[in-house]
Amino acid sequence: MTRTVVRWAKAFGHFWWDFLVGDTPELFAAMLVLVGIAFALRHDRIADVVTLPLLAAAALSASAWRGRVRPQNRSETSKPPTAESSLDRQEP
Amino acid sequence: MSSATVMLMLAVFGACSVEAVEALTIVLASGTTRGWRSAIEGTGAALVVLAVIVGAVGVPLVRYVPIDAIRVVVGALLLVLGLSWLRKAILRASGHKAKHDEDAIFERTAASLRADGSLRGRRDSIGFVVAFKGVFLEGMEVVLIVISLGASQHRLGDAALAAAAAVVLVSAVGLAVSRQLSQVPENTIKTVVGIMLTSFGLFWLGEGAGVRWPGSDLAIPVLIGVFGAVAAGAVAMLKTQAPLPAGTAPRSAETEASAAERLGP
Repeated sequence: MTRTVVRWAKAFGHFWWDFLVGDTPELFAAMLVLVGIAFALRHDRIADVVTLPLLAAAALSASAWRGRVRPQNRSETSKPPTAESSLDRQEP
Repeated sequence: MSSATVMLMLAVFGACSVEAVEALTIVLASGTTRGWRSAIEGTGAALVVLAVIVGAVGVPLVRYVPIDAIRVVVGALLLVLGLSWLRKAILRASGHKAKHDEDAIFERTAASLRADGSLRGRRDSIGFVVAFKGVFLEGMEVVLIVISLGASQHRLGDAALAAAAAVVLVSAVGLAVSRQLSQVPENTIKTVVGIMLTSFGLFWLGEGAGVRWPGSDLAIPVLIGVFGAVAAGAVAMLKTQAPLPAGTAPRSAETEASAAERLGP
């Protein structure tokens, strides 16, 4: 019984870890920063409505840039996206 | 019905369509190799469990938790999910990541099921479990989106309806065309849904925190435009560095690993 509960708890924690962090911890960190900024700047309407989208867009661009197949990988193996680069734990 | 509600339903419909295509591939593989009875029973059981989760978590959330608290949490969740979908869609569209190949997933799933022998017409636990896992795992993300978007606008019923409509539509089309699911422009749908989830997420996060968006709900289409432009720019920029022309990246590594992951040991 206890083992089953522990197994379920682990699976539950693993699901949320994969869902929230997975292989893109930078996006999770960006979300935390955005939550903080949303509360910090909520009284300054202009700053908030400009800063939030800009930061989210910057985080997305930086994360996509980080996920690209780098040139040195190309010359090493002359292979396109590898299993490692292609495989994400969270597969929408 | 407000524009925000229409967009909410479109976002749920799109997200659910993508996941339904992926789940249906596994169900079709299970049905054609192990028999339709077990595949349909496994699918039905998974859908019932998913519906129970929506009801058990979503309804109390809508009724008893303050709306601003829901919006901050939901906004943050949608933001992470949306940015993650969008990132993958950008990498796939620019040729930095292998595209999803439903044909390869189908073949691999079917081959692994055939190895255990055919049991057409009879109850088969393997066929049931494979269909159940496929539908349940793909459906969990849809459940989160339905609950998140539904709860943040107090439109849980509409969100669930949009999800159900997507499942029915994809199932009907999928059964009609059988194994032609690879023709579905999955990455395009994922891009659009990723943009919508990111926009909704940022909007609700701001609303919950006390930000007053100019034009209220009208800020959502503006955010969609902003993230659409960012995604298009990122794809264009990354294409210049692509290892192969976009869309020609090989598929086997991802699809095989993904199929194996879904089927388990």
